[in-house]
Parts: sequence; C-alpha cells; structure tokens
Amino acid sequence: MNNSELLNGCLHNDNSAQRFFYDHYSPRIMGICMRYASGLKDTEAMVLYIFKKLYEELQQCPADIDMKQWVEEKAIWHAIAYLHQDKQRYFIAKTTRYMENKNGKVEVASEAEISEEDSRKLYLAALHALTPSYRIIYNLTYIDKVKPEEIIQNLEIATETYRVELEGARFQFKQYLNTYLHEHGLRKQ
Amino acid sequence: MSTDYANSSFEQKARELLSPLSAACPDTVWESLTADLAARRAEADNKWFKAANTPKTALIAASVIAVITLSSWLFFTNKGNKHNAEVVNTNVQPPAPQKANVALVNENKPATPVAVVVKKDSVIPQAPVPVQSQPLVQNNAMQPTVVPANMVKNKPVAKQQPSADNSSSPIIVRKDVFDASTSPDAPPDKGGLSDLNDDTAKTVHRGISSAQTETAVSDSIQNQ
Repeated sequence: MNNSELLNGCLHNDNSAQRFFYDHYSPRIMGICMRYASGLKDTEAMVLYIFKKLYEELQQCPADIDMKQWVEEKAIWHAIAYLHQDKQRYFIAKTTRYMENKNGKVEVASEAEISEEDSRKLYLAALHALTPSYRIIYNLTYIDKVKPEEIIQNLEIATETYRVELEGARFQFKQYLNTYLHEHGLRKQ
Repeated sequence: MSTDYANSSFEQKARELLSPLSAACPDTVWESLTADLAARRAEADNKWFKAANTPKTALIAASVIAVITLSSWLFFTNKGNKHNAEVVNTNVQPPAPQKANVALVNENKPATPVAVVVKKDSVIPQAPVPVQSQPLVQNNAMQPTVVPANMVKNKPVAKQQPSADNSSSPIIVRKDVFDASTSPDAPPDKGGLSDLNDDTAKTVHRGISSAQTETAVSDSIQNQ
C-alpha cells in the first residue's frame, strides 16, 4: 500500500488502512514517546493521543513530502502538546526541582565497561528523571536536532528562557546519568 | 544563537543512543484507538445521515412558513383594502375640536369687593430704585431740537385754572342748556347717558340736581 492509498483509506475511515498506518508508524512513534514521556503508562497514553491527532490531520499531509518525516515531526509536537496539557505536573515539577541545579560541575562516571543496551537504558532513565520542561528542551535540542529558533517560536518562550532551561536540563541530565552509572557500577561489582 | 555545547561528545552519544529509539506498541493502545475510531466513524455516519435528512425537513419547514406568511399577507392586505373603501364611501364628519380646559369666569355674577384692612404699620415704603445706567444729565446737543408747534406760532399757552371739582361747591349750570334738554315734549336723551359708564352718568345726574337747586335758590332770592 503506497502513501496515497494509505491516505485515502484513512480519510475514508477504512479500518484496514488505519490498521496499516498504525502498524507502520507505531514503533517509531512509540520510541519518540518513550523519550518525551516519563514512564510506560504515560508513553501509551501519549501514543494514543498522537495517533488520534494524526488520523484527524492526515488530510493536511502534503503529497510531495516524505510521509515518515511528516509523521515523526507531527508526533514530536503532539507529544509536547500532550505534556503541556498536564499543566499542574508540568509547572510544579519545574519549580520544585529548579533549586537543585545550583551546584558545581558534575563529572560523569566512566561508562567504558557498559554495553550499548545498558547505556541506552541509563540514558533513557536519566531523561525520564528530568522535569517535563527540561525533557522537552533537551529532546528537541540534542536528540531531535530542532533549530533553536523553531523551538523558541513553537514553545512561545523567550530566548533567555530557552538558554536557561537548556543549561538546567543539561546539568540535571548529567547529574542523573552520573548517579545511574554509579549505581550500575555498584550493581556490577 | 550559539549552541556549541550541544555538539559535545556527551550530547552526541545521547543522540546516537536515543534518536533511533523504537519499540513495539502494546495492543492496548490499538484497542483503545479502535474504539475511538469506531466512535468517530459512527459519528461521521450519523452526521451524513443527518445531512441527508436535513434538507427535506428544512424544505418542508420553509414551505410551510412561506405558505403561512403568504396567506396571512394576502388576508391582511384584502382586509385593509375593504376598510379603506368603507372609509371613502361614508361621510365621515371631522371630530369636534376639543375645547381648552379653562375655568370660565361667571360673567353674571358681579365681582364682590373684598374689604382688606391695611394697617399703617404694615405698609413698608419701597425705596426708590436708582437708575444707574442712565446719565443724570442728558446731552442732546447733537440731536436736532424739535420745537412744539404752539411755541413757533407764539400762541399764548392757556393758563390752567384750578378745577372746581369739589363736591361741596355749587356747580353753576346754564339754565338754557337744560331747558332745551329737559323740555317735557322732547324725549329724554338717554342714548348719550346709556352709553357712558356709571360714574359719568352719576356725575351728570348730580350736576342736574344741583343746577335745579341753584335755580330754586336764585328764584327765592329774587322773590325776596
């Protein structure tokens, strides 16, 4: 099934086309949501929210663009929108953890002996430990490689706010990663 | 914007590890999504069904409203024409002008004078109001002087004598004048007196009576 058939089937509420679309893009969207959400339950809810939005917006997909790229980009911004919906958790977590950043530099423990799968888990755990706002900034800037101007425009924040948030996110991520690496080393021993 | 620190080895490793992340989605997500899509499909079908039925209902309602409006308009216009024809045929008198609601004074009833006792102390003499705007001496040098006609003709101004209006003093009336007017043959000239007001008539009557008294006194003197 090519992209145009897939699009037409989804737009006409064809069940097989919708299933095909889900099977084709759900692993990738699940990977994106694992980075932006804070846990498995939150990830599933986010995936469901993103697919609902994607089925609604499929008719806006341009014909000449790569559909995979379009779906991934939409999934990222819908994941951020999902996090912004829970404003209570978003802002309270941000304010409570802001005071913890006023420390010195963090030296990341050696990860030479850790396997790639383990280090991926540790990195993902450190990312989940971040506050939602820091997680968004870190994911967009370092992993999804979105331009800072686009981030500032889409998140509707000031440049200075972006800079401060990114610095805090980077610091906290290193701190958590160091902790998890240290715990992992202790477990290995 | 400078994001040099984003290109450090540490962040690059995070990107290498987490960017291609993908995982199998649990079936619970698809089940929830299927339920949501089915509900949306049913809603869309219901919407199309409603859309298919809506024009008929709308047409029926619109036609009924149009018929009612047209018939009522025709009924009222016909009624109005009939009413206008009736008004034109009948001789309708204009309504009487409304009289002003003014309390009329009873003319037959004479106004009775009201006796008002005014005490001497209660009367407050009003001070003369000085006229400040007018000059005390009027300068009419520029205006042409108008000379009265009697002064131009050098006529002597008749000297005014004090009027003998005392009721106690006798009024001298020429007898010949009253003889002609009071002759028994001539009808009494009431036209002049009737036209005059009451005070004038009284004065004249008083004059006549006093003249008669005067003639009687003079006759008695001559007889003596």
